[in-house]
Amino acid sequence: MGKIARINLTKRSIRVQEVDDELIMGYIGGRGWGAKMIWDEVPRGIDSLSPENKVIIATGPLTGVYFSGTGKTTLCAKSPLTGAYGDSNIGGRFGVELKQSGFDALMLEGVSDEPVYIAIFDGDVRIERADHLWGLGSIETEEVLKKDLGDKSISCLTIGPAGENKVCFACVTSDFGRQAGRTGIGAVLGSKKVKAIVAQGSMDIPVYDVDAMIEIAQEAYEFCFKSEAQKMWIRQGTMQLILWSNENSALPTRNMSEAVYEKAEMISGDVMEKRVKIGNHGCFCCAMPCGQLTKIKEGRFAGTVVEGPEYETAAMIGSNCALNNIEEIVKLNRVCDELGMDSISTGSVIAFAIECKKKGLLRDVNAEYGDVDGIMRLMEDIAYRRGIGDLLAQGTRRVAEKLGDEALKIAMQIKGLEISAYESRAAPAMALAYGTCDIGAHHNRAWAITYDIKVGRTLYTPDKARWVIYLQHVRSLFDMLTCCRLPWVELSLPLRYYGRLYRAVTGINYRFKDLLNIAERVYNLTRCIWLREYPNMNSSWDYPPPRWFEEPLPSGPFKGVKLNKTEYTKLLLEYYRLRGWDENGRPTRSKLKELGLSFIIDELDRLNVKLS
Amino acid sequence: MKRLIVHEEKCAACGICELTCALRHFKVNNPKKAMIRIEMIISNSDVKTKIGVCRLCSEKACIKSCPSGALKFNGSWIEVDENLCTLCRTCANSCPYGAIFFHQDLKRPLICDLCGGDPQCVKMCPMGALEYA
Repeated sequence: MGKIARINLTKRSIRVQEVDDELIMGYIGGRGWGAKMIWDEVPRGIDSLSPENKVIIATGPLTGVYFSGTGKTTLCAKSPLTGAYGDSNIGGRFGVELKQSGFDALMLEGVSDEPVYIAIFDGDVRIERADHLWGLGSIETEEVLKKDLGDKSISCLTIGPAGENKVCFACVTSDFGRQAGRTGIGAVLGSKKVKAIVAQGSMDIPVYDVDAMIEIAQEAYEFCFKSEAQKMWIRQGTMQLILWSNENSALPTRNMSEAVYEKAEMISGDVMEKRVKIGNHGCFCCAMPCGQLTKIKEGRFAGTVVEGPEYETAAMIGSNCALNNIEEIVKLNRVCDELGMDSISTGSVIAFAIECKKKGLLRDVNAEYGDVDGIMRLMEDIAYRRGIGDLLAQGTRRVAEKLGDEALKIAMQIKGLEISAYESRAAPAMALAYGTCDIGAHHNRAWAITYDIKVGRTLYTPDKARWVIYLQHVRSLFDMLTCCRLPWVELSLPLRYYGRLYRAVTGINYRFKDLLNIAERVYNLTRCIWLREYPNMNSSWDYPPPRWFEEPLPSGPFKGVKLNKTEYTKLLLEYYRLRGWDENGRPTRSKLKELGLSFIIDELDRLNVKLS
Repeated sequence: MKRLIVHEEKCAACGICELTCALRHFKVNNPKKAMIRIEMIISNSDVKTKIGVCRLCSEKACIKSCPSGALKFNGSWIEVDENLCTLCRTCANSCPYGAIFFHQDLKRPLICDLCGGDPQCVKMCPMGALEYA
């Protein structure tokens, strides 16, 4: 039976609880647990940066076991960027150390009156002073903690100055170069004055049937090692997507005003590999370690080291800000990591600010497209909330709301979360995936663009809605189990391995289909967290920004294409219908009952959320 | 004599080798019970990986320093006599390569035994960072 450590920062108390059966059987782990705990314990309407918010750091049943990509952990909280359900997962080794310390999850409550870090060693949880760490960068903090504690094998979660200063898209960093980037959980930690969490454990991770696990794992490893794609993933990781995305007219360029970047070749995976790559970094037990360690070898930024850039960073800080030099991207990646900001939201908000300046909507933006110094200065201004940075630190949507309709048209966000790196005017399934993602516009719930490419870039056929729903369940299941989805996505490792592994590790006799049903339960639960926060939320919230409907693509193979609003509406209604939601995007009473979520109905009734 | 040769510059610090080792020897899902250990060392301007595993060096300070004679070289790897070992950790402290480990559950030092001549970690490393030659 697993344990949860509840750490109350106000009272400085630590309470250890057994994980109850309802969570294990009904919500699997990771984001499933986080969503249920937020529903149960985070009252509606609270300020995300107030003591009432909670941060749940949850492993899953597969964290730390013998299988490719089991180094994952999920962080959940009410997001300061969206004001509703937020989560983000992180790789590396932290979750493994946490489990080996005897905890499946942590819950952080309240707020400390002074900077602290939390130290977890083999079942022992302590709150320690962190005055000496406050103000340091994310990576610097890890370095100092390792030195102070005299042990380089500890694993840390840290925040940087952006988290301390409650930048709404501040991230959490682990193991040098891994980030839980999205939804601003770093700001929530900062608001609680938690600078870092350190874990190290030596306990066995209980496994129901070790022999079966070894057999399943070795079969899967063999499958992965034979794959040609595995070699390419080790060589370039997600950076191989730059040219793919560009060829497919999906590479965010100049605040997503374009989808083809004329200088994409200069920031490609090949260029990264030739000019800056020094090695690889993999998450725990990975069969395809895709993290790229890079170092700038010459020029004014020589000596800079970073894990990355990943595709998302190179696209959002690179092409989206029209930066055509790989060394400059590496430098800005390191700056962004050290400041502790999500590179996706950061690239988006900066490109947005530059476009607003060009259109005369925003003054005092001292940066241009392609201007590495200006962009770096803006990043620092955001993290330290100086000048215009103080406004930009609130995220694209809040800035646009202040500037008016013209800015809202080009504010590339949905529900407050900046759109990640797939321009989707010629990708209706991907646009729908962004529109209906349960944390705001993030690609990882349903990377449906490959389906658009397969079946037709301007089609709005009902199978696209069906596919998006399928992906939203399969892919979010990985964040409950918690392990990496890339062996499945990129190497085509069959999904049946995950069902077999789940049974071998837990002894719970769920089929893969049962696990998918739970993923659907959690997807409906997170939707209802949004509805509880925003009782007036309706289908208009599930639309991409006007730019994608109004401005045709200016160049590339899909020149002239834009999203068709009538067709998108039909696709969205089909999506709702297939989900058992009404035309406002609200789960129906019967759907909630069918999914074992009856407890939601009473509360939504009380708030006058009209459920049909 | 065949030994484990490590290529630290290739290592991605994923730790498959650790867990493979622990499962092979003790059948537990616990990378801290491995006879090989990976450490990622970061500094402001560098990031490196260190692989700690017995390389069968010529000095064999571990054997020389053991006060109870619990270690011996059998011609292929270093054998541990658990009956003689007093868990004093002198071997680990004397090893210049940081390749000997202890775990509180195990009443013996953890020193690579090459899986009896068929090291499993070498087969599982996705990066080719371990070689048996």
